[in-house]
Amino acid sequence: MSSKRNAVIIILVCNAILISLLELIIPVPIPIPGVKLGLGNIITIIAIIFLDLKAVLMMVLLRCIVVAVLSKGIMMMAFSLSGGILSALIMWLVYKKLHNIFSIKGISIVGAIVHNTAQVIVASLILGQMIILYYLPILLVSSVVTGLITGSISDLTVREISKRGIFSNSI
Amino acid sequence: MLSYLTDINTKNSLLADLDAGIKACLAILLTVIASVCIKQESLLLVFLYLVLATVSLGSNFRFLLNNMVSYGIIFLLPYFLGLFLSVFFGYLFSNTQYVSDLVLKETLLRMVRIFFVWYIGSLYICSTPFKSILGMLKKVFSPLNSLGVPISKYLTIIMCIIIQLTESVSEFKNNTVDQARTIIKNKSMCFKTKINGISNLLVGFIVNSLQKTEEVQKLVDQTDIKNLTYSFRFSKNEILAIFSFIIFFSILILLK
Repeated sequence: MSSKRNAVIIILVCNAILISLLELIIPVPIPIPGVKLGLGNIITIIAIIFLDLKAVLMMVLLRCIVVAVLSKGIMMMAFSLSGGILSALIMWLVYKKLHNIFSIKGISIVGAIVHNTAQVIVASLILGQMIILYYLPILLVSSVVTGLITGSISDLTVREISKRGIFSNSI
Repeated sequence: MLSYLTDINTKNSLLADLDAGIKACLAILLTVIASVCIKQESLLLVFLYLVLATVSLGSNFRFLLNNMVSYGIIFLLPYFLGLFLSVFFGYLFSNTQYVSDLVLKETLLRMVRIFFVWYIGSLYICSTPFKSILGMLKKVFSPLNSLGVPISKYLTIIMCIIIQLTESVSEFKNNTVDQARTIIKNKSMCFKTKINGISNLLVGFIVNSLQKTEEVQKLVDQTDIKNLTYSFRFSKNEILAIFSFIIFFSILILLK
């Protein structure tokens, strides 16, 4: 793996973590407990569009490890990894196979839905209680709204990156 | 979230002074014990031991409180909302199936156990310098290097991410976060305009950061994980920690 490629992955991981800080000050359009904007998803979408699957998964994995080591603790890694890896995989599949049907906003909504579903399933498995799944429909509705917002920002960023030709040289 | 990079309080305590390897072993053992405890008395004892660890963290009870709040938001809130919806639908459709898997006492005990596991992980992460964690990981996983798994490369990248984050977090807070805060606080803007403003801010930030690839590339080339060294230490503090754990474990066995 070239050092330029590693450098891009490092920048993307740092961006994903830093952008998450903004979530503390941006009000969520649907004020429901547990609902987050998921701004880090913007970076995953950029990686899906400009990098290969291996780099995308590596980026998500490193992000989860670094966040766990830096602040949230090891247990949060189970949540971050399940939601992050699964949503990245599904978004990558949707982008590669169904890009005629799904726009970037659509891909982002799919990612948000998969992310929330995976996290609720992991939480219910850890707690050993399926009752937590009753909360899923609310999270799914909010995923559509938050996915649309992050998808719109991703769309703008992807256009700007393409316009400036930042990833035009092979990495 | 990134308080780790700026907050050094937890790094200057008795718990932080302990050898990272011994602390990791104690944390793993404590996690196993907390996971298998069934009796309420045993769980209380684990709790007391964790309070003792918090005291050795410089009596940082705010840390314990922060963890409780985070745990509450991530686990308890969805659970109780799910429980509420389940009971609500049960009454709405007069169907007992909706509330059939309600075993509240067992679930609460399980939640306590999960919180303990969560808190042990947080205590370890928060009181151990990341260089010691990476140094230890390098030593533990070094046999994998000879099998072709590029552990050293991954550790180098993690190291670079942390260096890069440390360098850019204050700049990001001072520029992007402050500008975003100004946009959010502007009462004359509607929600859509605010989101557009933040979008432009983020687009600029992401695009500009990607233009620093060469700079980061140099950092990757210069970073050498040979500097990550972990050397086993066994002093008075480590003896005290192991001794306290043995006492705790003995009482636990006596209780059983």
